[in-house]
Amino acid sequence: MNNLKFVWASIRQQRLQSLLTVVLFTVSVGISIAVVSFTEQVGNRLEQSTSGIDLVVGAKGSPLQIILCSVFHADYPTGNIPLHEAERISRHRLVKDALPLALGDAYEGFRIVGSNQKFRDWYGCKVQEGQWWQQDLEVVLGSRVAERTGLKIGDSLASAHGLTEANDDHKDAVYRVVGILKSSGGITDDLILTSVSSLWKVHHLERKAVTVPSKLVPQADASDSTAEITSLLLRFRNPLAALQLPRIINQGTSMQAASPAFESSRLQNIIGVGTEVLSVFAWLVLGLSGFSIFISLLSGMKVRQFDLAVMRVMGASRIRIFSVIILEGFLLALLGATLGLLAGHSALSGIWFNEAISRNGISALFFSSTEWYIFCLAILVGIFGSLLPAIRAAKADVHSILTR
Amino acid sequence: MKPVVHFPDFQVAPGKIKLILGGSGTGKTTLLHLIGGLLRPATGTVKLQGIELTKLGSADLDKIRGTKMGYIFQQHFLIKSLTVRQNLLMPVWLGSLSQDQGLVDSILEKLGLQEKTNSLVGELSYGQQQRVAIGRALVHRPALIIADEPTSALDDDNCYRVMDLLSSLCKEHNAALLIATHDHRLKTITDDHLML
Repeated sequence: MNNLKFVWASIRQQRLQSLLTVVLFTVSVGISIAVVSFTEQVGNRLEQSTSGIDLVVGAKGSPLQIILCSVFHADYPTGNIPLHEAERISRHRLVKDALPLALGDAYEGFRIVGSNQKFRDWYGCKVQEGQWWQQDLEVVLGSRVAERTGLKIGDSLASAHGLTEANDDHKDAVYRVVGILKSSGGITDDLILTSVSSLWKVHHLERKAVTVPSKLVPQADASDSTAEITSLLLRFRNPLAALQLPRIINQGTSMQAASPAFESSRLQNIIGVGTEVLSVFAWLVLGLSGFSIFISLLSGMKVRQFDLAVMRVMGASRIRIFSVIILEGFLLALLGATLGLLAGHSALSGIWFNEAISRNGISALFFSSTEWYIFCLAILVGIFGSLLPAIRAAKADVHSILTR
Repeated sequence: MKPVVHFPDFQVAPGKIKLILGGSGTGKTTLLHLIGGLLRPATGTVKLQGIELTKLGSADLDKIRGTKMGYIFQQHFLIKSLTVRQNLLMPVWLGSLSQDQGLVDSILEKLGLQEKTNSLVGELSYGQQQRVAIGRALVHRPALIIADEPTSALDDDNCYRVMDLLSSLCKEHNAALLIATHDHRLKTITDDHLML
């Protein structure tokens, strides 16, 4: 026999009360952990996806939609922008580098992104199998695309409009898989990458002969006023650009500038309202769990006062009685917090199986350091909740209990 | 402070039995609790094997109670969440004593509880529970066993059976047995009486 066995036997005897306390801890820790992990992963994802992109230029419309579409690849474009206007911006003295994007098609729900050879460096793409695209209608698959679609090097695919799962809107111009990327944990895992001119070809947008190749899309002439792309990602030469370029673009062109940093923070605020409500709820339940331990142990004291008095008669010191009660509170909280940890991650795994969320990189296996604070806090609440019952049990007058 | 109750001097030798007889409210339990150190006397002393218990601090008293005394209560006060064996071994655990497996087995055998060692005490009959309580008082080889009304709820047959068992076990372990009771049937087991 030891303290742990004794306490465990006592918990088992009062199984209904113990179960209620454990369930309350599980719910509060589970919700807190799911919220913290989800929020942190979304934050990381937003930060990772926007890093290295200072400004996005798209067609006039919602700046948030431009960012969701061109940075997170989770929305439709606001429209197209003329290549020659984008070219002019890319040559501005405040622009260090620019990357064109042509969007609009997908394969089995995975977006096809047309760009130029710089895309590889901008996103740090590493080819796992095959090679990077060289010719029009050659594509490189993100790791998750390859995994989910089962496409291999040499396979062909016909794209569809929008982000739908329909496959064959463009049966007459099919892409050929030439490479598969190494998983990066980033947005490129879910993209199919090709050249801008591939998308033009698929949509039968023939270009005039190239005399002066465009800097952004070498397959088009720099003066081609009919050529269009979806958006342009920019890197600034210096911080002054952050002040001047958006104004120049918004006022002097038909295009719209959107700041990824600003829009991400707006997006986090929008998500934040929901997560904050959940967090407050979780803290309330945690408080309730502590109260439940308090009530459970205190009411248990009435039933067990004779047990504890007999223990004192048999030589148990006051400190021993105190520590046995504290151990009981600790064990209930530990059990609840451990189950809460599992429940929180199971909840995330439920979300994780949701294709749309999974594509945004939410993983059930992500462990945040904050989770351990929540775990420890729950255990502290358990110990704190058992303090008063433990003090009362230790101070109990054995003589008066046994002569009742 | 004016004493509420006054007790005469008495002693009990190892292996012997002393009966404290008296009706309800005469202070039998109070006397047992004074001897056990659960209460402090206003005046006077309690000595066990030459140790003056009344001079000891709370922690030392806990230790003496855990190692040198065994208690038997009328209501048994067994711990319902534990098995027969776990209840029996409570004094060993609480006194941090080493377990004498041979002694435990022999007590269980004498009490006729070998088949019940892993049963929860709540599943036992009243008589079986009383035997567990007797075993619990003996398992750590105490010098003194204090029994508070051990037979009040028993019929004659069971009363004598329990007392035979208790007195023989105390003799075997050379433990002094102090019984506080209003049950005059117990006068037959010893001539050493103290009337309150």
